Amino acid sequence: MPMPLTGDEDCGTREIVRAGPVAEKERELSDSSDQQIIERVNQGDPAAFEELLERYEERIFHFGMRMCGQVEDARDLLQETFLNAFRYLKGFRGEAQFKNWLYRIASSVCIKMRRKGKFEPDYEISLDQLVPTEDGEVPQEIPDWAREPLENVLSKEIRQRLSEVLGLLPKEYRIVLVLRDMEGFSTEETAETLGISKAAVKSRLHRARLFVRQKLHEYFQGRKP
Amino acid sequence: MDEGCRKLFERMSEYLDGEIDPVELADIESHLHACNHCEACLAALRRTIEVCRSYQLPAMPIEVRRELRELIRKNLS
Repeated sequence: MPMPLTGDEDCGTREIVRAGPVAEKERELSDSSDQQIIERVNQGDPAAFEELLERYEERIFHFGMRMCGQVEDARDLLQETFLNAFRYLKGFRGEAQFKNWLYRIASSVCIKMRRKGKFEPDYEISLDQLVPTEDGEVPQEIPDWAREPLENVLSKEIRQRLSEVLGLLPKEYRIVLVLRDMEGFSTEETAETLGISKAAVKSRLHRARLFVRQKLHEYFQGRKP
Repeated sequence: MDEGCRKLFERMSEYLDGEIDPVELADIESHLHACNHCEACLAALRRTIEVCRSYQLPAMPIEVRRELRELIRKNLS
């Protein structure tokens, strides 16, 4: 969810960036009744499964779009995720939220998928390559694109650029960034979903954010008259 | 970039996510108030997160929705 901006934030002071409150509310609202729907499916009312589709298909499709960048790949991910969810729903014991369980399946499908006809980047991102150096960009002032109100920065063009930058990130970094900064997962939920440690989530997230920051900065610098 | 800058650079995401313990937080904030470079880096990183959180996508195509239902119905029967 977009962060509410007043346009006069003091970027030098501490302001914790939080997941959107709507995502939290959605989570509370959906949990109790997800379980009821699952019980109906497991008691022999498989048509109730369509109610789960109604609730989550758009989110999983968008997760697929963010991860794969192509409608065809996102469609394959969506179909494979829900087929697996349907097959294994009887094994869902409710220890985790259904949404998290579903994302765990989607993440697993995604990691196994190869993007069709596309080069899949596969390399380690080190902090050293992202540190501003004397030879490169060493900003002493807050850049305009970080100072202006967010609505002035967002555009169709920047969305396109962000999609391209996501595609440049190796999948293990991209999936952490997507879960944490786009799907509203906490560090702990991301760790559980991907089966990695919280430290690994934090490390990959930081590198992924810095990578995107660098690419956005280059993009905005290039647009300067 | 001095040692304080490097230390903050490594922890900027945790700082923005509110995941730094209070003792370390005081050191970081003290450095931040005195360092324009880190302030600029931090602002750009914060904006990056905001841009990511604001990344909206068009609605799922109707065709994709229809295909998913056909697939699930086939598996239900």
